[in-house]
Amino acid sequence: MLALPLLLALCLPVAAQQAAPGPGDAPAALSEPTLPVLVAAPAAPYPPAALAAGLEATVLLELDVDATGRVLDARVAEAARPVDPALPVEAVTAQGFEEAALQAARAFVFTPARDALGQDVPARIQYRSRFTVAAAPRLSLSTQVQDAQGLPLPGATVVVAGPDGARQEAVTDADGVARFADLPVGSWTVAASSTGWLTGTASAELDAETARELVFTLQPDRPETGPRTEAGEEIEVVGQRLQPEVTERVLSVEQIQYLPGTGGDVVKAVQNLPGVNRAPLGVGQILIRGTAPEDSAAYLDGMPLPIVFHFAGLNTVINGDSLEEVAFLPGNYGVRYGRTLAGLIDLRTDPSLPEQSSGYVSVDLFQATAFVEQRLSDRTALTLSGRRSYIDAVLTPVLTAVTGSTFQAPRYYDLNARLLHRTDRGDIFDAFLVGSSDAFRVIGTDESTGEEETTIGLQTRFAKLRLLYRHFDDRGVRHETVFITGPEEQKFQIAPDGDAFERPFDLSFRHELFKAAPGGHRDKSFGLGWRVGLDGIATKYRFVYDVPAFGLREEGDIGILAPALYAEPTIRLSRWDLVPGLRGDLYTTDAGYTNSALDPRLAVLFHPWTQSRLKIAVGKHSQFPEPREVTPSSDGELSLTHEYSVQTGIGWEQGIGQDWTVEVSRYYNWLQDLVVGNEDAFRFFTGPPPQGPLDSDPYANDGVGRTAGLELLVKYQSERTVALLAGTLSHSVRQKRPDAQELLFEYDQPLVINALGSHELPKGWRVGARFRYGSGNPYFPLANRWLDLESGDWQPVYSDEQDRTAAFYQLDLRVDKTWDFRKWDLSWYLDLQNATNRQNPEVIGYSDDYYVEEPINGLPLIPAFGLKGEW
Amino acid sequence: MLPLLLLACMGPSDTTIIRDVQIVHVGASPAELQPGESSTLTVTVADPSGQGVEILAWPCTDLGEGCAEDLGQPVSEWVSLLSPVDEDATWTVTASPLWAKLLSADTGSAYFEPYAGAWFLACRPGQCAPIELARSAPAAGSDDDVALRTFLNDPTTGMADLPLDGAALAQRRVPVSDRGEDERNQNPELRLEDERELSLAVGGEQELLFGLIDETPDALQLDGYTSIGTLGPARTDFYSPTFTWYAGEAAGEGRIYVVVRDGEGGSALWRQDAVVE
Repeated sequence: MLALPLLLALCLPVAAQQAAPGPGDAPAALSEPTLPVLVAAPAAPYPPAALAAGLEATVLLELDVDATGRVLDARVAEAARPVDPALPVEAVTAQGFEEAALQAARAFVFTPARDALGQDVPARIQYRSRFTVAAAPRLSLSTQVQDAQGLPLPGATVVVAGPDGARQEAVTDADGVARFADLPVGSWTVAASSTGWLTGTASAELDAETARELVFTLQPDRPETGPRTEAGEEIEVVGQRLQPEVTERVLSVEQIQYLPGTGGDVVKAVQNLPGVNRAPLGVGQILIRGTAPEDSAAYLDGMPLPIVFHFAGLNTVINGDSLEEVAFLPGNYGVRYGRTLAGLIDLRTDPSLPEQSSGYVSVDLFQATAFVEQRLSDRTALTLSGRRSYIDAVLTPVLTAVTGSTFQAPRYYDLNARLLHRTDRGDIFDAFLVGSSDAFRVIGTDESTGEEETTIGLQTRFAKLRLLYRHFDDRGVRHETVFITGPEEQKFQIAPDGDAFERPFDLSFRHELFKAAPGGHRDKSFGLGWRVGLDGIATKYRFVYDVPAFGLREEGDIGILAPALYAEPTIRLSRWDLVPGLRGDLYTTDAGYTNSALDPRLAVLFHPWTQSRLKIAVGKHSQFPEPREVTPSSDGELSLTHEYSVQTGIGWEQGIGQDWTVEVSRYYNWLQDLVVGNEDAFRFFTGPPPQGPLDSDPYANDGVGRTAGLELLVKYQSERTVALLAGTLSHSVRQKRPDAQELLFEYDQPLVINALGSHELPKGWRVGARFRYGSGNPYFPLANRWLDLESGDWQPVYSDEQDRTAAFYQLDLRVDKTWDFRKWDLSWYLDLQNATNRQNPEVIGYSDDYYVEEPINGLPLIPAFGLKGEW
Repeated sequence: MLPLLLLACMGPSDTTIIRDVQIVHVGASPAELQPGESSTLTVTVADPSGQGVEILAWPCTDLGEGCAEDLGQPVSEWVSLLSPVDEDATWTVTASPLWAKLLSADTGSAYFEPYAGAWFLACRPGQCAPIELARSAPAAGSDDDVALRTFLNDPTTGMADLPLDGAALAQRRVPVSDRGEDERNQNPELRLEDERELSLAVGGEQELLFGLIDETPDALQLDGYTSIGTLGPARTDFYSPTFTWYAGEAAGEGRIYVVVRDGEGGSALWRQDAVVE
C-alpha cells in the first residue's frame, strides 16, 4: 500500500559525487549538473524477525550509478542505526537490515546524472534506507479455493492471521478467489472455511521472493488426515460443498462497506446488482425482476425475517458487521426457499469464530453505532452491536419551528446480540437476537381540551430470536435445525379516531438434512446428493384497520399454521448437474381458510470449462394470500387460492483470468392468480400503494402478469480495485381482471444501469464512484378533477393511458481515509450522494385541488460523513 | 409504511384558489326530504373569466352499477340544460317514493343512507361533449345516446375526456328520511359579522369574521374559495369562524365564497365581491 511513493519520499539521496567531463567532450552551453533521480524502487524486504519485534532502523548506502541509471554496485556506508535514538545501536545489529537494504538497492533504477554539458554520466551517491514498521513493504496474497476437480468455490471465507496479531478476512468470489493486500512480510496462518466445510488451515512464509498464491483444494468427502499446509502448494480442506443456487449474486460485507452511495448498508448494496429495479427516494426497498417489494422476501441464514428495514427502506435493521455476506437470489432458487412469488435476499452470518476480539464505535450523519466481537473461549464468541439514529434530535426542533406543529422526527434504534459456539467437531450452536424500533409522530393540540395528541404517528418494532444448531454426522450428512421467533408490531395512527395496526407473533422453524453430491465435473463420474427438509410458520396475527378516511373498519385475529416439506436431489453426471426439486406447502388458518401448493422446480447446470457455467432453470413459486385477504371479518374471501409464478431462466457465467467475471442472464416469468380487489389506503400494510382508479370489487385471484428481462454483470476485482457494471433490460406488465387492460407494472423500469468502482490508494486512502441510470416509473397522469360537495374535497380523475416519470441519473462519490495505529485504526469517509445535486422526479404528487402536478424530487446532494474508531 | 412517510413529507397546497369554472356550492331547500318530496337545488358556478357557463344537470341515485334513474326513457327526459343567471341556476330533484319502503323495512344489519342525488356538469359553451350531445337529443340506441348515457352513469370517469380548464363536475346528495318537517335537518345560516366592502392593497390581508346559526355547530365544516388572492384556513370557533383573506401580489377584482356544511346535508353559501388595488 505504501510502496513506491513512500520509498521515493524516504530514500532521498543525501550526497553525490559526479565524474568530471572527459577530455574528448565537445564544448556546449553550460547548464546546472543534475543528480540521479530514483524512478523505480522495489520494496526492501523487512527482516521478518525485526518486524515481529517492532525494530526500526536506517541504513546508509553508497551506490554507483552508471550513465544509464542502473546501479552497478552498492555498499553499506553506515551500518544500521535504530530509528528510536533511545535504543542502542546493538539493538538493530545483525538483524538483516543491511542485507535487505542492499538487496533492494541493487534493483533501483535512476534517471542518469547529467553534467554541466547536459550529458549522461556515471555517479556515486548515498542513499539512506529507512525501515519503519508503518512503512514496511506490503505484500499481496491470492487464495484460490476449489473442489477436487478444480471448480471454483465461491462464498468461502478465507482468513489470514499475521505474526503481530494482524488479521484480514475475505470471501471468495465467483472464481473461488479471495485476495488480500497490505500484508507485511512474515509468517502467516491462512484458514479457509465455508458453510458445509470444516475449516482448514495452512501456514505461509511471505516475503518479497516467495509465491503469493495459495490454492485450497477441497475434497468432497471427509478425509482422515488434516490439510497439508505449505505456501504455494495445494491445501486440502475437509468438508462438503453446498449446492449453489442457479442465480446467486453474493456481496461480501467487506466489499459493501466501501461502495459509494449505499452508506455501507448491506441490503442497499444489493440495489447495485442486475435484476434489481431502482427504489424511489434512495430507500432500500428491493424491487426484484419487475415485482413489488412485497413479492420478495428477506431471510436471515435461510429463515424468514419479516422486517428488514427501518422505516421500510432507510437502513437495514441488522448491523452489516454481524454478517459475512449478502446473497441475492433474483429467481429460480431451490426448494429450500418458498412462500415467495419473486426473489429474495439472504443475510448470512459468519459461521466461523473470530480470530480475536475486536470492536468499533462509529458516528455518521444519521446514527451512532457500537460493535463488539469478543472471544469468550476457544470455542465461543459473543457479538453485540447497537445503533441509534439521532436525526430526530436535529429535525424535531427544525420541523416544529417551520410548521408550527410539534414533531417527533423519525428515529430508530436496533440491537443485535449473537452467541456462537463451535465444537471440536465443527458443530455450531448459534443464538442471534435482533431487536428494532422505529417511531415518527406529528403532535397536535386537541382544541377542546388543549392537550397534546398524536396527529399522525407511525411505529414499527419487533424482537426476533434465532436459534441454530448444525452438525455433520459420520456419513457426511449435514443436519441443521433453526428456529426464529418473536413479536412484531406495525402501527399507524391519525388522531383522534384513526388507528391501524398489525401485531403478528410468529415462530418459524426448519429442520434440514443435506448431503453433497460427490464427484467432479472433469471426469465421467456419477454422483448423487440430496436435500430434504421440513419448515413451517406458526403465527398469531391480529390486525385492526380503523382510519375512517382510509376505508371501512376491518379487523381480524387469526392463527396461521403453514408447514412445508421439500426434497431436492442433485444428480451429477460428469459436467452436468441436474437438480430437480419438489416443495409442498400447506397454509391453514383458524378462520376456516385452507390452501396448499405444490412447487416443482428444475435446475440444470453445465460446466464446460473451468470458470464457465451454463444455467438453465424452470420452476413454480407460490405465495399465499395476506391474512387480511382471507379473513372473513375483513371482507376476506375464503375461496382465494395462492398466487404463483412460473419462472424460467437461462444464464452464462464466465470467469476471465483472475480478475474478471462476466454473467449474462435471461429470464421470463409468468405471474398467475394474483389477488386483486378491495384496494384502499390500508393497502400500504400489504402492498404497493394503489395507483390510478381503485379496484374496489371483492378479492379475487383474477390478476395475471408477465415479467421478462436480460441481465448483465461485469465484475472486476483485483488487489486494490473492485468494479461492477450491472445492466438490466426488463419489461413487467399486469392485468388486474380478465376484461381489464394490460398495464405496465408500477415499478416497471425498462433500463437500469449501475456502474461503480472503488480503488485503494496508498497511505490509507480509498476512492470510489457510482453512476446510476434508471428509467422512470409508469404512472397514470392526472386528467381532470371534480369537487365532492359532501366533503369539500377535490377528487382526482386519472387518465387511463400511462405515462412515465423522467429518467433518473445520479452520481455518487466516496473517499475513505484510514490511519493504522498499533492497537487500533481510525477512519473517516465522505460519501457524496447525488454529487451533482440532480433533481430527479421520483413520485408524482398533486396540489390538494388536483390542478397541478407537483413531482416529489429525489434526495438532494447529501454529504454523508462518518468517523470510525476500530480496535 | 413508505407511502405514508412520503405523504407526511408533502406540503399542503392552496385549495382556495378558483382556477377556472368551478361549482362552489349546491344548496338544497329543503335540506332533507321525505320519499316523494322535491328539493330545489341552487347551483352556484364561479366563472372568473366571465366567458359564460352552461350546466348539465341530471338526477342520479348510484346503486353501484350506474344511475337508477337511467330507465331507458329518452335521455332528454332525464337531463336538464341550465343557464345560470349571475352565477346561480335552480333545478329540482325528487326523492324516489321507493325509499319509503326501504325506510320502513327491517334491513337488519344492512346499512344504507337514502338520498336524492344529482350531478352537475358546468362548462364554458362548446367545451364539453356531453352537453352538446344532450342538446342534440340523440335518438335512443344511437352511438351518441350510448356515449351520453355512459357519461351520465359514470361522470367521474368521463371527466378524463373533458378539459381541465373550463369544465367542472360536482355531485350533491340530499338526505332522505321519514322525519317530519319539524324534525328534519335545516340549512345553517352564514353571514359576515362585520359587513363592509372587501378591499385590500396589494400584499395586504384582512380577517373575515363570520356568524353562524345551526343546530349542531360542532359538526360544521367550512371551505373558502376566492378568485382574487387566497384565503387562509378557517379557524372554527363554533359560531364565530374566521378566515383570513390575503390579497396577493396582483391587483384586480374577484369574488370570495365561503361554504358551510353541517354534515347532514344542510349547507349555506356566503359570497361577496372583492378588490385588490
